[in-house]
Amino acid sequence: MKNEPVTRRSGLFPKGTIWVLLLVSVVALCIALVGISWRAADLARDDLRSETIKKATIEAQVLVEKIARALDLGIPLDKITGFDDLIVGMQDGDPDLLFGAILTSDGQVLFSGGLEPAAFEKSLSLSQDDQQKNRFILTRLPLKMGDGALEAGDIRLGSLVIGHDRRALMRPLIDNLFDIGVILLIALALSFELMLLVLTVNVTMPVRVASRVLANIHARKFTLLHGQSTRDDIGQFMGGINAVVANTAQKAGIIPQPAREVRLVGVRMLAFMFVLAEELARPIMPAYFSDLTAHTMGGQLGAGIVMAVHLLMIAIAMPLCSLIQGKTGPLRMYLIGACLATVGLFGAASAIGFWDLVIWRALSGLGYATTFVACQSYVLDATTEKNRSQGTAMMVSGIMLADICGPAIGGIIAGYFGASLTFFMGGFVAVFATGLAFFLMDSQVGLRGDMAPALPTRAAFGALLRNRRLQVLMVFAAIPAKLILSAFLYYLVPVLMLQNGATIAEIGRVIMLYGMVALLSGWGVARWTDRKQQEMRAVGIGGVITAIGLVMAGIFPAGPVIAVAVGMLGLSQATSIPAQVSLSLKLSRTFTEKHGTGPVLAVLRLAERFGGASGPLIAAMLVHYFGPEKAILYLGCGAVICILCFELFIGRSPVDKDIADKAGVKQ
Amino acid sequence: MNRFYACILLVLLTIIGAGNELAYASDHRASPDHPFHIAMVLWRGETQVEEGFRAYFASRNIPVDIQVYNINRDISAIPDVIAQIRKNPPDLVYTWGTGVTMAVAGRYDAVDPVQNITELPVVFVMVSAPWKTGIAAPPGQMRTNITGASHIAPLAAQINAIRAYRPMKRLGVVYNVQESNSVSNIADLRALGTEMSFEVLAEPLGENGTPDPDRIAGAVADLAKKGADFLYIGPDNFIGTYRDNLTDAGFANGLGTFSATELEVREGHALFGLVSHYELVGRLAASKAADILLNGAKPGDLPIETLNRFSYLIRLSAAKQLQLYPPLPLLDYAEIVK
Repeated sequence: MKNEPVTRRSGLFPKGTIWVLLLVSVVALCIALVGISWRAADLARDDLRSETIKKATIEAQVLVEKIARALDLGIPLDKITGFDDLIVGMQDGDPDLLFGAILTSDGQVLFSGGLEPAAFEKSLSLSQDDQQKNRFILTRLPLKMGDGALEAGDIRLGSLVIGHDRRALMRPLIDNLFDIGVILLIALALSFELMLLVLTVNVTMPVRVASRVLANIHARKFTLLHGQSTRDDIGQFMGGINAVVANTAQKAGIIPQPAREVRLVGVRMLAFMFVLAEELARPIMPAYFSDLTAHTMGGQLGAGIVMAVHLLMIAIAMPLCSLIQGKTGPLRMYLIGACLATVGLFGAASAIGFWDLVIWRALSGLGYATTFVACQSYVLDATTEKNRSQGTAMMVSGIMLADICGPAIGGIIAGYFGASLTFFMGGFVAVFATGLAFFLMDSQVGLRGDMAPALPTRAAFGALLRNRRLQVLMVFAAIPAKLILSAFLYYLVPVLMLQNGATIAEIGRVIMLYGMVALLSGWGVARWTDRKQQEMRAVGIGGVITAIGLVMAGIFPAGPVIAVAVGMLGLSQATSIPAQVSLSLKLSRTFTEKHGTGPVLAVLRLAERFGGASGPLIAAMLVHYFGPEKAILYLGCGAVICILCFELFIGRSPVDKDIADKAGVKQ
Repeated sequence: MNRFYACILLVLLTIIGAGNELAYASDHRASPDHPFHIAMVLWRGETQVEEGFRAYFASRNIPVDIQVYNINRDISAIPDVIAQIRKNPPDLVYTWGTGVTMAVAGRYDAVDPVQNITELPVVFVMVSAPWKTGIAAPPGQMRTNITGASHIAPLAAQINAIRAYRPMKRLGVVYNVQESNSVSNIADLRALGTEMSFEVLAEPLGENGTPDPDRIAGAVADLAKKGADFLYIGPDNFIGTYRDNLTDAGFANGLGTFSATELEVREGHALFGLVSHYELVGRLAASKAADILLNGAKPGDLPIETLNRFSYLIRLSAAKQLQLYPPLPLLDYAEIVK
């Protein structure tokens, strides 16, 4: 059999003439779509213009009535005050309203609000034909009382003019475009997840195991059988090879063992599912919780407490789950967690007040913690130290993907169907995850039973906690990272954006940036960390990025800057969190060899989750005393202090000289 | 058999218990022939507060016989009033204002059973700061025979109301140092000034005894010179009595007057105010009195309350005189007094 050289294909374009067909069809499709969109936008603009004019007419009528009442009370025209305040008040309900003005019969501006007269006077004199070029949509209403014009002294009032932003006509279309973009992105991400799962389970893993089996045959050992069963061509081929190996091994008196790989990729999907269930309601949480707790605790503080209870439950449950992970096994633990999360989410959807909401969110937190630890222990048990960061990053990627999709989809759902249904949707996702776990988790992984390392003695645990570098890692990196995440992303961003007049869908899009940046950067950063073994550096870089983002957003709290800060938070968390796990294990190597990774991870998780739980409370208090803008700035200052302390106390000493590990050895 | 006797005993006890309840209820029931007796001790005759108080009982057909004791602004008349009340003890004593209530019921920590009424339930109205003045016991302690209705909006809400009319950085107050509620109100205003960035310019009167109403005009002129943006009338009986002296001096110096109480705007010439309707205050107090008289509630168990909604009053004639007209947004919710 002649071995033909395999030609390597380069670039994204297909070979041959097919690309011409592809190009033509894509160009034709684009031209058609652009044409249709242009026409649709034109039609929509006409409809929206008439709607805007209707709204403006009502607003103008209200203003005219107020002026008439003031004159009726005997207030002289030149003594009327507060017209600008009226316009500002109207702008709260109609952000597209730019100005309002009262003109005399000869066209002079008597009162105005919203903008200085110089900014709109020229627009008032434009002809009807030039109105399309005008940046304002103008609505005029004559100032009349019955049949006569309003008069005050020798001033004869002419009309009241209201100016709306012409760009407002495109705003609903742009919003829809964003929604479509979000849905497209999510559809692509989900497709990628499914493709990755299918290809890894059906192609990559069987081929990799086949490679090991064939290498074993090549070495004339005949000790391995292909155990990654598939029903396709690879499966049939390796079935034949297995028969030959079994036959040969029997003759040689060897009992071959089936070789198989753990379906690590499945955990990525499961991590995605349980986080998605929770993240769907992320953009609406502060507002929804505030509404429900307003009568008991007073809005902001109530929402802060409910969110803190959820995160506190995660903080308490995670270390406990880490300690019992070896006995229950990840599959069972995941199933329990998904069920608890389901109950919690359905409960939150139908909550009626503060106390039951606290209970439902606590259950959700318990479920979240259990499923998280199940996935994490699955990854840790199926990987070695060499590929642990990559394994963790795979799970984190699933989480990040859910961080992207959840708030964005949740924002759209909440915008159309309300907050309760968004929580219900989360519950349904959790139910689906429960069923999926049976297929995607290898039930034998992580079930150590009696093989599980013995629980550390109190002295050993004390020694671990006295590990100075671990203390520094927890106090100045792990706790602040989660505190800032929950305070800034989960609380301050929704509160500030709502205050600035953003819609729920817009908040969802901004929160989505966090996951998107983290996902795109996570894999590369993890590889760099593993290759360079520079976990400490990665933690430091993550802290610096967080601090810069927050300080920037605190000083310039405008929408785009907030979005950039959220993106920077995503990058920093992707850089820092996997590195923190690896670093904590590395700093406690001797301890983990003797007692397993569970206690170290339990301590780390406990610390960072307490940070997470305190985040919303601290944010709520900062908002109460200083407002959301200052709260972000102060949080940024805290981040600066933490990262300086981290670098000062940990960054200058080599990792290998671990005093605490020596203490651990003595136990 | 034992179980049978136990059942009989239980039924008997239940009947006795129910009988006691009925007897207690009948003790607290009045009829047109035997109405509830209320002693009403007033500072300056009946006001709309008393109209509200009476209207509450009338609308519910609760027969009451009200004996009015008008001290006509003379606090030294209180011992005589108390002596008369004790001669023919009523079911409840009603007091109007901080001065009257303090004299009738005393401070919570300095009650004299001879000079103050301790044996009868007392319901007060128009006490602006019951806790600050010591009429009400502080949290954690109880005063068993006293409850009532306050009438003043929270100070922060008053300041916001002033600023809704015009920007305000300096608030001028003429007050009587002899009135504890007025003094405590000034202290509260000063504390709030630090928080809400305004300065309190205070002109005290009556340092040497009874304040002289003729000094009001001079005090207002001084406040105008110091740059006061508005004059303020708080819970002060003396200033309330001579409110026209104050508002007229305000007109002369181009200063509008804000009032925390209704009459100064409605019947006086104050420019504007954030106030409780007196009639509603009277009704709130009457609801507490009814609870005591009909249901046997202990006054100490009933909360001392203020209304949770206030009215923004603007006197248009004062605005015209000062050429200081209300801004358009206020016309949406303010009540214009012409």
